[in-house]
Amino acid sequence: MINIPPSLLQSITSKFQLVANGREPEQHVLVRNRFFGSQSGSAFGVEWARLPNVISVEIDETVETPAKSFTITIDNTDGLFSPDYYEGKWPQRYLFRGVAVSPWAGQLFPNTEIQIHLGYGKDLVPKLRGLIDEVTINSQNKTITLTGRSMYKKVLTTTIMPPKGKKYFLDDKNMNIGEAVKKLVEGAGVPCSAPFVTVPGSNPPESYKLGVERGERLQTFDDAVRDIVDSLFFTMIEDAQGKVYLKPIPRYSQADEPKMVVDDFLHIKELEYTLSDNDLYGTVIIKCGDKADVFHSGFITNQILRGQRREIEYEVPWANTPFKRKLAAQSYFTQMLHRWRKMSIAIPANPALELWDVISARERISTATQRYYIRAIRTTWTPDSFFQILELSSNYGYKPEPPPPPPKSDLPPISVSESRIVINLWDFSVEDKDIVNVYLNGSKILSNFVIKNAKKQIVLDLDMGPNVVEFEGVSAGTLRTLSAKMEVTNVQGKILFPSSSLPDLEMPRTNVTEPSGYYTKRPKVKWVIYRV
Amino acid sequence: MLPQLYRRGHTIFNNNAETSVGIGPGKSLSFEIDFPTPGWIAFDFKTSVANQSSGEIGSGEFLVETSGVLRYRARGPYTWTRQYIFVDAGHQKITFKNSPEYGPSDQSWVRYVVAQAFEHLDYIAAIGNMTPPKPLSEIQVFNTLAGYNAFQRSGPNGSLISFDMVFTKTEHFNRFMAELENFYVLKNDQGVWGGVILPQEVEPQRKGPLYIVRASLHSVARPGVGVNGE
Repeated sequence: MINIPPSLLQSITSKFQLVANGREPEQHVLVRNRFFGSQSGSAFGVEWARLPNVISVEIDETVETPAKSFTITIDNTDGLFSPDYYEGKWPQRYLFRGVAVSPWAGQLFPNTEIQIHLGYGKDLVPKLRGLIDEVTINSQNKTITLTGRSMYKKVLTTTIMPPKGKKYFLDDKNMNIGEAVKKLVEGAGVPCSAPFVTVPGSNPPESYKLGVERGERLQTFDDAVRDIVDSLFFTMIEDAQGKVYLKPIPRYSQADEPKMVVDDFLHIKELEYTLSDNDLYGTVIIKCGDKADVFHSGFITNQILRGQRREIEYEVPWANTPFKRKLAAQSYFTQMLHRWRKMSIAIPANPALELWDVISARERISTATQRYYIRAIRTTWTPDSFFQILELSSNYGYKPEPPPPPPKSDLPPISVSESRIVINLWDFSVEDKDIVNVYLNGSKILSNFVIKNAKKQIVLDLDMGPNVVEFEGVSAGTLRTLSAKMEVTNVQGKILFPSSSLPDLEMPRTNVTEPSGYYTKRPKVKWVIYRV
Repeated sequence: MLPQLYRRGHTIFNNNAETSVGIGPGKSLSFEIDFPTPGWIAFDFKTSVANQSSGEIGSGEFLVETSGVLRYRARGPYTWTRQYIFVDAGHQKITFKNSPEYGPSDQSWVRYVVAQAFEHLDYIAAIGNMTPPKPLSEIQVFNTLAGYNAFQRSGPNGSLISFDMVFTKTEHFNRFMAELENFYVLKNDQGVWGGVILPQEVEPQRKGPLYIVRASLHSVARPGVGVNGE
């Protein structure tokens, strides 16, 4: 749910949505001048203008596609809004209003840009920015109906032209999958923001690579981008300004705080609750080239399908490891579980609600008492009513994934806020040729280093969260154990953790057969440093 | 008072030029017009109001006042839009104004400012059997599944006044009916009402030598307010 002022929240929740207290439903549809900036646009005069005479507005949003669709009907008495109108085309005596000038001539046209704002009283919320698909003029009713989709329409309908001399729009297989989504959506001319996607659970974080070439000629950008997103734990959402972003598919639990509570006493006008096994599969086969893995959902097979065998196969070209195939299967199972308990309710419109919001519903006949998340919203504004039909789904059947366990640390973990720190390492007694390798998050940063009395500065560039520094003993030296003192400073040399507060680095003299002290089996000491 | 009916008549003021009301908040433009009879002021207006940085509609409103009474407001940007405002007889000062919420580069314009005095239909022998204005606005009542009613409104305002007109001569009846489809102003005890008589609702009858015409005025003014109030 977007942030809204208290006055709008009061209007939404009030049972008196009347003009008397300034809480009457309100709409603004703005149309962008098709000819803005050119001479022929002078009749319209401004860049954006409110569409008058609106009879109804309907917006459909669903998590299945980022493209929201809309239908707007306006009064078209005298035909002044017809795209092909011009002054003098018909004798003026036919005009009901007696005005022949219309700045709207030629404006309501396919691909004209529009904005829809809905709300109560003075509090209007931007809901959609989109493009007209169809303009239908109805002469007997004297109306025009505009249907269209939000800006993602461009991604759905623009076909790909790969760069000259190349077969694919994206030919870098090592590209991060988030960047690939961004490039494909922006390739169709729609702004997009997508995070750098890492393989979940990988440490150090591993870039989730595209793995294949994507985007052939004659495909639409949506063809190329949709199955990438579907097989990841992401969903594409378009905001009210027409920008597409990747949102992680929320993992709900009944403990999630609801954004809104609706009940049969105050809000719910209609309710329908459906349990369905349509399109549910207990077994998912994920294929990547000639490799495939089979995954089962015990919950779906046993609890919903009562043991019935149902399999489905998905081709996921970027799932090139068993782990990635497992993630893809989890994503498809999650999407199935999002579908199997559904509820549809009609309530006075709350324009601040967004897809995936959690709401709590209570109703006596359906015995609905749970928390549900929103999968689809149909908002309808007419002069008689301003209502929403929410398609809700229960999170029943999920087990939220436990957070990954913190990496194991042999030395007490420390936390720092700096992105770059220095570990000073030195031998505090006789230099006896103790030798170590040092790794940071799996990459070797110091190789065969002989520990001396003089401090060795080891510079570490830390990622956010846990970072694993690993000391690998190469030689225990000529005397006793491998031992060293450590202190941690920032890059300016200021001591963050003095050696007195840190344990010594100690490795026993085991698995040593030569007097030189070289280990036959190298001991390792892990130290976790959290960057917060 | 005896009710009086007026029909759209002749133009008494005309300013076709495209005129800027001004750039920025509080700017205004006024015209002063003497109306011998009730009438209307018609104008085209255009506004350029930028959205707020959050993407919400700009809160600047284009305001129209007649003699200090706020009669019309339009929030956000508009291309040329025709608006009609009914007014009572007498000296009227019409003011187009940018509201204080206008941004420093927001602007509004007017053109085709026309005032028409409506013609008094003095050949109507009598108007009677008149209903006081009935509200046309509707509030929808909807039931929640297990609770109380809730109420919602988003339709237009306005009022409906039904009345009988008596014509004593066929010539007068014909004169009235020939231009039935038009705009009217009705003055009665409750106020001054501008609007339209819908031809399909008109019921003419002949009673002896008289013509009695039952008609309804669909007024854009709110009951209890009329054209002299906000």
